[in-house]
Amino acid sequence: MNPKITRRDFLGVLATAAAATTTAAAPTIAAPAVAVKPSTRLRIAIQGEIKVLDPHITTLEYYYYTVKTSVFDRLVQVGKSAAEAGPMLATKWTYTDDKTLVMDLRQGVKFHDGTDFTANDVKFTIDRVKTPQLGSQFAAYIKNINSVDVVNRHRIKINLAAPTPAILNFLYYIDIISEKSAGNIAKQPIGTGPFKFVEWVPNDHIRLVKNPHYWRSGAPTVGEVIIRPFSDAETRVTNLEAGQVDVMGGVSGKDVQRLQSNKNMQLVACPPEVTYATLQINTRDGATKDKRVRQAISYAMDRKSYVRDVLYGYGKETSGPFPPNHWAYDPILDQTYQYNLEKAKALLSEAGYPSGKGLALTILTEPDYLLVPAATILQSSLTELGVQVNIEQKEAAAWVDAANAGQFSINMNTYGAASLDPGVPFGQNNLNPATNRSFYRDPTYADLVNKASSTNDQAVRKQLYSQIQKMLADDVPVAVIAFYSDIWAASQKVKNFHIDPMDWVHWDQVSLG
Amino acid sequence: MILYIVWRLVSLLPVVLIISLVVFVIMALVPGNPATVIAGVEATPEMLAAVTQRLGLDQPLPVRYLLWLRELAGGDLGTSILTKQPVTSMLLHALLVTVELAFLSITLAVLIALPVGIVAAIKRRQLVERGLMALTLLAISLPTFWTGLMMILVFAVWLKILPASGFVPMSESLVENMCSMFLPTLSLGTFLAGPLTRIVRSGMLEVLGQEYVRTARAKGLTDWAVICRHVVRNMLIPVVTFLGLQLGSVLGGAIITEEVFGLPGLGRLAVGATLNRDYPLIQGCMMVAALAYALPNLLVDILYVVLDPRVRLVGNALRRR
Repeated sequence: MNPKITRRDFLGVLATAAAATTTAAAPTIAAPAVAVKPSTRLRIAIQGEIKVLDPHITTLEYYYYTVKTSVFDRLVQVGKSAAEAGPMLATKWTYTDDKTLVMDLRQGVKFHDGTDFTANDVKFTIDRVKTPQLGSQFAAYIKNINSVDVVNRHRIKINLAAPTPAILNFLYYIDIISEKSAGNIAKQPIGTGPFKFVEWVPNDHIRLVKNPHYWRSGAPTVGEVIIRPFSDAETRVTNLEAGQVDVMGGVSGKDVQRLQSNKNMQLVACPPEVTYATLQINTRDGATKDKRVRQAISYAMDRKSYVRDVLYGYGKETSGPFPPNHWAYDPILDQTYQYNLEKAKALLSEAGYPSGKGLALTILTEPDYLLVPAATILQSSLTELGVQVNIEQKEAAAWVDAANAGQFSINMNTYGAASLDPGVPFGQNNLNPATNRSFYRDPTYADLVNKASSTNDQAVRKQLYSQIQKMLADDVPVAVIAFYSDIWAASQKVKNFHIDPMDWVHWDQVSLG
Repeated sequence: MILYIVWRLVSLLPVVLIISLVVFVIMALVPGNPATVIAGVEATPEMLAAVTQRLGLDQPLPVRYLLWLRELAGGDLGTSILTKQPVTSMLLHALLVTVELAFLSITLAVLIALPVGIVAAIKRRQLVERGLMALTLLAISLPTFWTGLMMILVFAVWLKILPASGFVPMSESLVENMCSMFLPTLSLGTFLAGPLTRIVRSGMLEVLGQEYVRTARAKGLTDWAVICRHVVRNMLIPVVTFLGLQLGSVLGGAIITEEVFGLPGLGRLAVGATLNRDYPLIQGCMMVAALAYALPNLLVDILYVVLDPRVRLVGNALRRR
């Protein structure tokens, strides 16, 4: 064999290889051809990728802005206020007794595949979410629904295990799907919503097109929505400024001024009473088992600095889970936990840590742009008290594992839904008596929360929630830091862009001028 | 020669398999799994168990690996746990972007580095050389995320002549494809050109000092002829080695460039897959990354034969006589 190859041979091989590469790379994931005028195309930059397409499995996060409010409808939605439900796929509803809810369904609605929407789909959806094998996080929200009866094609009867004043708020989260599409829903989500799902190319875009048969007349006004993930805030801003996208989410406080001074831009923020950042303090293991240490931690959290320096004023400091305008709000928590290092020091001494000596704490957090600075602020106050503080940042998958295993003194987290019926925030893992991440399993607390969430009398409930807030002030399993607003920016040609009181965005209401 | 190439390709097989096994074991040891990602922060232990079972992650590790191998034997890399799309098509989609970016940016790097490095070597100890070397130092020192953002600012925000981000496949529009790849290529290409220029310059200096160059000059050849015919070819060996390694790393995913310009390439795909613990997709990305190092290096070895007449094939390996 003659091993020698000439340059000509080599170039020939190279050319063939190049041609082969081009040909092989040609077939891409083909998107169905959809003709849409570019002038009716709404382009959005968001902070990250969705995880899955199945609406009952999603962890929400970016799902709110992408698939949830666009592809799907729910039985009810936010009405005049966050807690007051308005009609959506259910047009009206009545309680025949305090455990039976009868709902009339909208007629003439079709799923994107042409199937009629009927009472059977509602029953199927609720049964599916409740199936333990599915592992849906929303199962806990509707655990009080014993069964759903189909009365006729457009009427259902929901049978509750106990009076559940928050049930309509819980139903905000349950996207209605059809039995026919369920098998393929993780690949091709089909709902009755204002937009049809076209494709999801991971790391590139999600494409939605207008549902021309949407039941709400005149909506949506845009023909197509393209949503692109950019995890870097600077990249999102430059893309908005370059006109590459029309809307961007996740405006950080430091970019607010830059965007405000640009006359082609508008900023939209949700009122700061929905989402909050919180400390979850381990009541089961380590030094934080002692409630005096937990109280000291809450006193050492400089909430004012956090709102001023990290949220740039787009927030409001708080120590409790209710906004001041909520009917269940009791000022006890807010009044007690003002920033006070002297008190914190005294409490630590009382607990056996004079000058913080011998006390080492671990703060567990995700690498989140709002949580890490909060951890740093707390760390600096506690260090001033002589406490040794270690901040552990873990990416989501590892963080959940560490939090579940209780490998922390303080875990940082954020929650929404503060302005809904208290049943919702007290059903989430921050305050839920059975599953909270602080491992706070006090039977009195559980009893109070369960009573408060299963009675319809608001006066009685208010009293119970006051008692609960007093317990939280004394035991401090959680120390809420602040309510904050999600800030969005859009070019001036985007009209009717607003965020609902749930902090959700509805692209069907947006138009392009 | 062909036998040699076939032998090298076949010997890649165990390497790739060992890598797949190592990646599989490491990913199993890392805390967190796709079930925790899917079930999310609100998951209770019961929910986690349900999701784990539904995904088939409750099976013992060796069983899961063997199942994956069985699929691989059938030419199937499996389905992504999260997106439910076939891993092969996701990889192909990402490779389309990455291969184009790698090809264009390395071509640009060579087009910059060869003339600049040669001129710098010829004009040694002159102002021109100092200026050019300062520029290469700048190219090496400036991180791509910064140059990328600055380029977007100038070309997309101020001048509005190029798109700030996004990828348009060649099959859709060649012009738009080139527009979308221009800034990423410029950013990555100039970054790669920095070290490459230095290698070209030092290679040139080494060869210029050789006796045969003096001989060539003594024969009365012009400077231009000496450099083109005798010097450049001989200094290409380290250049080709360097390019082979760079090609591997760019093909494995130029994560920062992809992130800044919003390109759906292999780097972002791999990072996303890892954060989500999407095991089949991670395996797929790692296979491609391994091949992305192995194949260009095979190409480099073959190039040695072309470039350096002293390198010849003996048996199944390369030998330097």
